[in-house]
Amino acid sequence: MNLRNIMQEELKTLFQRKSPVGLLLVAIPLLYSLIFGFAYSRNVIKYVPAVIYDQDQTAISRSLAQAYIDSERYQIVAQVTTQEEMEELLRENKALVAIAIPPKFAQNIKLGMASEILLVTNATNNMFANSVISSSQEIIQTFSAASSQKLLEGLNQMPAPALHAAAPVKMGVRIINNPTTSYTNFMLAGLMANGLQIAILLVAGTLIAKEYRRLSRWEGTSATAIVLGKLLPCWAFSIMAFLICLGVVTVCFGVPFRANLFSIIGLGSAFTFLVINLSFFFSAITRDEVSALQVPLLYIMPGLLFSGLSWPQLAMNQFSQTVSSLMPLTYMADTLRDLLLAGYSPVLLKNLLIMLASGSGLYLLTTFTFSQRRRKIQNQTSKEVPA
Amino acid sequence: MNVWQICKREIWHMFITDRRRAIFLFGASLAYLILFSLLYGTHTIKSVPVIVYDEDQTQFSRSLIQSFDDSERFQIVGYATTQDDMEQALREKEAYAAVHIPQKFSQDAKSGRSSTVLVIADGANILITSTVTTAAQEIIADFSQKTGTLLTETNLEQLSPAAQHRVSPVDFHLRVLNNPTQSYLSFFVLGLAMAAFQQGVFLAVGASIQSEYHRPEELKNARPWAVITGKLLPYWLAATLAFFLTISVAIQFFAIPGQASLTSLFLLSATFIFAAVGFGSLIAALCNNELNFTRISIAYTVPAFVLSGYTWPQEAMDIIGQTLSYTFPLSYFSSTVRELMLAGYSPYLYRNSLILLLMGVAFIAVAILYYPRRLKQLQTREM
Repeated sequence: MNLRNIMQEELKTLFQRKSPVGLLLVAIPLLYSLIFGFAYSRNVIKYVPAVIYDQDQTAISRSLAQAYIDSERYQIVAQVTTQEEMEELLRENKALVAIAIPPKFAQNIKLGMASEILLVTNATNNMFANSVISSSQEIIQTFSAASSQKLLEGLNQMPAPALHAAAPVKMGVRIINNPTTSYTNFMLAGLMANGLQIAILLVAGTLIAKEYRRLSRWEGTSATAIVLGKLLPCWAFSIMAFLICLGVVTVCFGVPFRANLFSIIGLGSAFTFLVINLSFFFSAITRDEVSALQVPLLYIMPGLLFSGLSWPQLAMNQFSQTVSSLMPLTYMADTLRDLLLAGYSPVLLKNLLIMLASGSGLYLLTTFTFSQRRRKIQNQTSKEVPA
Repeated sequence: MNVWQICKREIWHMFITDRRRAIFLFGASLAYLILFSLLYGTHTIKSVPVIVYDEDQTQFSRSLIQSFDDSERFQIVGYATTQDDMEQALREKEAYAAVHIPQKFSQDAKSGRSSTVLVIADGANILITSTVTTAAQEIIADFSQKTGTLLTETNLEQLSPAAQHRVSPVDFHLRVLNNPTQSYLSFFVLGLAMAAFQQGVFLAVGASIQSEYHRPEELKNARPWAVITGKLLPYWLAATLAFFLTISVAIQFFAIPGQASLTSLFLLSATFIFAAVGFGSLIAALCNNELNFTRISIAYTVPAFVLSGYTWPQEAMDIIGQTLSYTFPLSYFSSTVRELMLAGYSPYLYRNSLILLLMGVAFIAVAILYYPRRLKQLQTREM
């Protein structure tokens, strides 16, 4: 068979009417994009359930409580009068944060003795705790500065200098690329790429393994041609799936698209090339089709979490960095996000080269393994025949 | 064959003829536990590379820079001399944050006009962003307070403690419950191990059910309920064992807190495994071959984990996400396991155990109904 015949044959099996496996290539990443897009549609964590335990009950303490009520980060579920009630609500997870204002809060402030409030938060889920700590810092610092201004005015200062003396250094924050720290912008494109990689593993993973059972079909066809003939259709459909899903991610879920199209297509092509060749390699070395799918199982969640998409490379130790460098998604996820959000990635070219080079290396390994195993199986059968 | 004989035959298969199944059951969760414990071994994000652009160049501005330098959250990787340098460093990812101190910073702050330090953070990875903003807020607030105190001391002739109290009259104490250092290891790893655990259970049970489709004659005379019960019981027992093995490794070797009582863990894990075994057998009974079963169960892993509410909370999902989340057994399990392990108590323990139990009963009932039909279908096709 020549290359063209092989490709036609492959397309036929990928999209045969009885079980059109090839559709998975588009369906899985599309499904992932939609599910996760909907799940993250609120983007930031708001309305953390909070309880206020105000032992002071003065105008000042109530104005602090009001600041929490006004913040969209919190939803006050109860104002309690005893410590037990507060702890009960925390224990039952009805509130994830408690703001306890001590007795004589206002009095101590006015006497210039300063006062402390207690903030209790449940950090079982870090996402809540992060949101609580940073927003509380803001609320309390603002409140403290306002109170301080009043106190200094009491020492014969004019309001403006008093405020400046209370807060002589301010912090301005500018968050670039993802100003609202949206979770969708942060995760969705990477999760889509992971969906694509899983789809490729599931579809391409069986393609080589199944040929060991029917080697007679391939008499006279070189291993290079067989693998290439299987690679090209898969690759074309994977790139198409990548572009469709990217369209969904940017159009339906509002992830910015600031890069030029060519760099995105280049990145997507290199990534799918690498993943297909990796699946082929697994497929060439395993016992049967089911194992060909199960071997990369260990790799699915690690592939995502070691990629630097969420837990950054800079926080990894040596071991994790080594593992990370073996995961295709490492060269894809962060770069794709940078391209989409910032329009530029400093490592684009490097990652492209790494993915293309290791993809080609795996391609050679696959053809080598396939032809070796083919020879071995053929030798065995030819020995069995005369017996 | 009766239930007991099927059980014995199944155990033989699990550990001798098809050892793959035992490896899935015991290996998956342990492998994930070890792998991710190593990944999150640093617990929190530290040493974020930061670039400093100091236009003021006074002792005052340098003391602010010193505070950033002293913080373990930041690592100063360079000093820019122009705005372009600073932006270039951010663009090239040499730094993930920048601190820009304006001209006349010291003069403005000290002469009572107040001054603003600009902190620029890259928002692409929000884990880094939140580390940067929280730590910078703390450092600058502290610096501002010290400066304010000094100003009040000199300008208003106040004594030091009185001045400090007037400048920062309200402070807050933070008590972080259950995971005080906000360690990622305690937060994340258990859930990942549990996601893999569910996967291991699925693949083992799936292989077991699917293998009967290939050799229907062996269990020809057994009733469907006896086949399913006899097959699932050994997996339920083995998986419970695997669960406790994983938990003890987590506590012993990776110092994940283990506040939970044995009974509460047992109740939750037993019901979850029951539901997972049931779910696995149902999907396996529905699939026409092991290849498709494996495909489905692998594609299911990531959504089940992401939608379980383990990281992104269910409260913040929209209605579609929430509905999907409530149909997955993992949603009733992984967060509750974490609560039990970190806090020693979960208000949802009994509710979730009950839901899991009911789910398990429903799944297994449907599997028992469906299994003989599928078997017959496949037999007629072969004939």
